[in-house]
Amino acid sequence: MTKTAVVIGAGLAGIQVAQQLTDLGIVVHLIEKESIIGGLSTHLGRVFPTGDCALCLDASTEIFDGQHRRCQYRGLVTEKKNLKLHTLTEIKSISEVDGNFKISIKSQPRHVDLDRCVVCLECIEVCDVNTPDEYGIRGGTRKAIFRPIPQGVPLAPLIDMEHCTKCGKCVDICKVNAIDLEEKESTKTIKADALILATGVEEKVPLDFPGYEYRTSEDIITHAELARLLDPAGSTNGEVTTSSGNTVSEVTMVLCVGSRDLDAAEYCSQACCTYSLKHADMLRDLGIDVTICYMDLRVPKSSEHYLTLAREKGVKFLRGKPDSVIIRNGKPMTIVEDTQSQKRMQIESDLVVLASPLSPLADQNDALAEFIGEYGFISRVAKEGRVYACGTATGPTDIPTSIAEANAIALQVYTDLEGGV
Amino acid sequence: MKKLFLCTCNKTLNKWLDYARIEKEMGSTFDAIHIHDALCLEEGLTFLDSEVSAEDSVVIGACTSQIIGAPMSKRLKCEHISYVPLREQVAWVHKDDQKGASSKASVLLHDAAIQVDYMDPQTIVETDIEKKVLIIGGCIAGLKAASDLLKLGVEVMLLEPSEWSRKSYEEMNQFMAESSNLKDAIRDLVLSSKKAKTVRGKITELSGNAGLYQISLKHDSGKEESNLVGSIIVATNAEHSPPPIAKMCRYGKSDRTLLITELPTLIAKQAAKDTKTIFVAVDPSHQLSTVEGSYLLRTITQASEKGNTVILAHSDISTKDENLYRAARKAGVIFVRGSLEKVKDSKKGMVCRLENTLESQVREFTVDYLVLQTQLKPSRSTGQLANVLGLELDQNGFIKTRYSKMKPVQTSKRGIFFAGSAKTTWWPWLFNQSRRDVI
Repeated sequence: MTKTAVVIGAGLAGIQVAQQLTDLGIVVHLIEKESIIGGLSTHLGRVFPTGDCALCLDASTEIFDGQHRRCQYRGLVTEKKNLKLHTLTEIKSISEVDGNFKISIKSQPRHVDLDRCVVCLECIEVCDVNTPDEYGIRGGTRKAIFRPIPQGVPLAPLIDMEHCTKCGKCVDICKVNAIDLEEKESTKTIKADALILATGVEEKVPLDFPGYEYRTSEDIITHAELARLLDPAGSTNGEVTTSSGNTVSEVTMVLCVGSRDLDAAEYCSQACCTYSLKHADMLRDLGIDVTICYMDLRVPKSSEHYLTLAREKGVKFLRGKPDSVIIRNGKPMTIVEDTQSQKRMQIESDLVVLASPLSPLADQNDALAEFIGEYGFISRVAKEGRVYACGTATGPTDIPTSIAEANAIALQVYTDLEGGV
Repeated sequence: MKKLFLCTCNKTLNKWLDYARIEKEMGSTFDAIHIHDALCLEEGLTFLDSEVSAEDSVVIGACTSQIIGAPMSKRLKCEHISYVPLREQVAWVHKDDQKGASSKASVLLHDAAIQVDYMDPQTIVETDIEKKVLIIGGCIAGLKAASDLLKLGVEVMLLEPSEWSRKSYEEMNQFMAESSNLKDAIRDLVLSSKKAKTVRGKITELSGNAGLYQISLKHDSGKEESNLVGSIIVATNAEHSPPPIAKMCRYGKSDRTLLITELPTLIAKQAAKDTKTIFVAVDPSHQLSTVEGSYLLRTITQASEKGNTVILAHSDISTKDENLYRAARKAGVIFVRGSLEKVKDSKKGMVCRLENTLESQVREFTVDYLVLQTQLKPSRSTGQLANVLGLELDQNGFIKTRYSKMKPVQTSKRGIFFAGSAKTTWWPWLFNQSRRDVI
């Protein structure tokens, strides 16, 4: 009999594990709470170690049609018959009956039918509503019918009913009848034999770390926000600007903001050293000076070239964890002791970027509470033969490790479900 | 017949492009031209079904091949298809210039018409596939791969290095985890991979392709044999080698200089009251990986707990487990930032001169032992092996991944994978990938 698995979270690990299991003949329901898949990587723009777009990986299905790269995610949502993707969907409850899971899910309406939409985007053109864009950190607006990130998958837009006036213009222009303004939320119960938690991490919004004036200044930002500034498709068209609209010429980066800290996140977030270096390289390419304040530089072997590149491109490194970042004369000032020269430094810059901890998302959902372990992470086998976890849900890490772990878990799920020899 | 299909994509593409003109210009190139809305939807696909026969060559001008390619390639009966992404490459980029855009579209469609002429007919190639995997082992990951594949009913041949024993797994992998955990893991894996046919020796030749590789093996006994396997997994070990500063530190010349891998033996032999001063140095030119860092922290914690005075001179330390760091501090390890400048062997002990960047001064420590952090390098056999198998190596001499982000276990050659990153708790996953590539 065909077995069914539910994968929670369509980030890179969730996508990978879902894809591998479907290839092995298991029916997979992939549950994603956002409207697009890709998880944290979509927020970080270009991803390491290869420096290409997180959403245009040509890696998974090696089907090239000659000249065009095939994106794995698009392939995933269109090509696999036994994979069902549920976006805008949350887990309401999980119960176990006779060795099977009953997982009830609730989906918010997208109001755009994924099977009908041809992604011509005329509907976005005709929409009269303008509302602040959550993704644009330097202002910018979006319509009530919109796509959070242009390259997000599924490519079809969604409607934000809070701002929609129901004028009906989008419905009229859509000749393929993909838009339904009256679509309601829906609930569903899935019976599953295995549950895989790929709930991932988010970059914590550093509101509560004392000393860093993140709360008061728009010029003290996180890496996810910097990635939006650097994104050529973002609201600033790839230009890195200050909150007052000026071009940035100096950036200070602070590593381990709240990570490896007994008062905040005790663990090391593993990936921030590398993405800070990646962003530093990208900033140097724009001619912007970069200073990185750090405790230890932890760069995995597969990404070591970012460190070499950063050194070659003249990124300044300063060993020392800043006491505070304050605002003086309208500009952020980083106060740090350079432990190598033992001098107390005051570094004025146009922008300060904080490497905030990667914190687990699983503990935000009560339905998953019973599987959660230390620091909110989940162990790879949360429940023998039944519940598994992979990717950053098991602890922060980089993409290659997440993928390897997703592969490993897929094999384990398969052997547990189908019984080995 | 050569046919052109132009999609209007919800009546938008014909707004940006002059389809009437394009149709006229393409008239002599194609035998038939159809303009239709929404080719990617069911009604469009049905239209294509009725218009396209297996002998046709088809050019489709539409939005992007990414949206339209997948549903179409499944539906279209013919073999020769070329997609022209009119929206992606023309309409979106030349929105204000309908004339120029239409000209560009014509050129692209014309090119595609030529391209379909030169496409080779698809042929179905039948190959025999050997459902047998050769694992070139040495690393604990090889055992894990063997055990998993056996569980899946795949025949496994495990090639271990010369003069290899179960003890060797423990010795060669000791840096990966605490020794008791490691011993248990190895015992379990040896047991569960028992059904693998184990050979000690080396591989001397490879030919064939993914699915059917012919390999020649030379056993330790001198016996030579030839085998067929479907896929190969390289799971050779990494080796600890002395760092560049080893010579300056008189490694090999003085009994007082050891490698970190030798420290556990030294501590084990140590009498309770016989405590020593141990100076541990990390070569500043070497970026520690997380396993190396964790091993270093675990080892020096043990040394310190035995009552020794341990000083660690380092620059950056990586570890996945922050608590190892905390444990080392708690055990009394003295951390100093800096690099070793000069070493002198004296009667009182080893005099280590440290450029301590933290205090901007030079300090001298006279210690009983100088312990050097090793560097993990690929085992000597890896290079030869890569040569025999025809695999590419990375700048450090390890086997290069094909695409480190999404294919972390693939080598540069199809059907050959590697296992064993320096982490025991996960194992790169192989079966499905091999199956997909091989079958």
